[in-house]
Amino acid sequence: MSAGPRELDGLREARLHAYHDGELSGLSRWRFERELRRSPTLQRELADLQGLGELLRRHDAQASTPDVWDSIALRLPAADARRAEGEGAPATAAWGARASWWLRPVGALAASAAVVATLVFGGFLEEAAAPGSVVRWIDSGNRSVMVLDDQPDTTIIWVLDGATEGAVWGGRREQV
Amino acid sequence: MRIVGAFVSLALLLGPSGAGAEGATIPVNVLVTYLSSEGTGVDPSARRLDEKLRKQFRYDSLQVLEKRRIDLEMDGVGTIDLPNGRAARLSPIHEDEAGVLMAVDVEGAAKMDARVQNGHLLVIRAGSYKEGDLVLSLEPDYR
Repeated sequence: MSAGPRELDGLREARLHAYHDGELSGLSRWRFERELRRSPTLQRELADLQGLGELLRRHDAQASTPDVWDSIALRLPAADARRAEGEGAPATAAWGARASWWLRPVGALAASAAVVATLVFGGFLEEAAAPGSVVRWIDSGNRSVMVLDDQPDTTIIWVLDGATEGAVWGGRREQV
Repeated sequence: MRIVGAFVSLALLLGPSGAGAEGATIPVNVLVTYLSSEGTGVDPSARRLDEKLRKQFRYDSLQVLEKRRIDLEMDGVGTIDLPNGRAARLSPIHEDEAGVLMAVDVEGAAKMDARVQNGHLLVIRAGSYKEGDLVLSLEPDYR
């Protein structure tokens, strides 16, 4: 019984993959290498396979982390803010409860009347729906941030490279 | 015929319209600038930004590094590669008469949500760059 052309191609292909993956040894490897030397087609197929492997390795190395979660995470706080806007006053109360821990240092900041327009806070701000405010939520890690919104058509968010202890702002401007 | 007309009118009323409709895009003018004291002056194409920043900061050079307009799909994410190796990502979430609610993430600086009215300038310091600061400004321009 002899193998038909399709079976032969299949066997050759299987051996080619096995050789490429380093799975052939001893006599099988010697036989395949002899066949490889004689067959330009086989040489071309092996080269293609090696090229494909290299391409895949390069792609894996360059592939960044899947962006799906990043995209979702980017939108989550905004979705909360939008929901809070829709809920109105109760949401503001909920915001007040959440924010109370970081509003405590505001007393020290309020001592400086010059900081009415320049709102400096460190790390985190969360606000439900202060009328007219542009920044609804911000997280700057441990970096300090100035939010300058004293111009009607402009909001400047100046993220400093370093952290500033005790410089915290949250809520509406009159609370400063 | 009157019934068909009514259906057409209803379809027109319920159909997509404005930036808030599903599948609509929010055009945002993006300006990436370099703020420094290198003495090279202010780029005339960033005059508006200069007027706003000059009131708050001391500098003598404002150079425009990139100026473009991007169309962001609602709930889609747009990425701006910054010259300091960081990236900024924007995602419009919702739009109504109060403005566009945008999620903004500037790598290495801050993540924020901002409700920005049409034409409002949102200016964000995106970190240090060369001898000065990299400043990203975003302006929704959808009406």
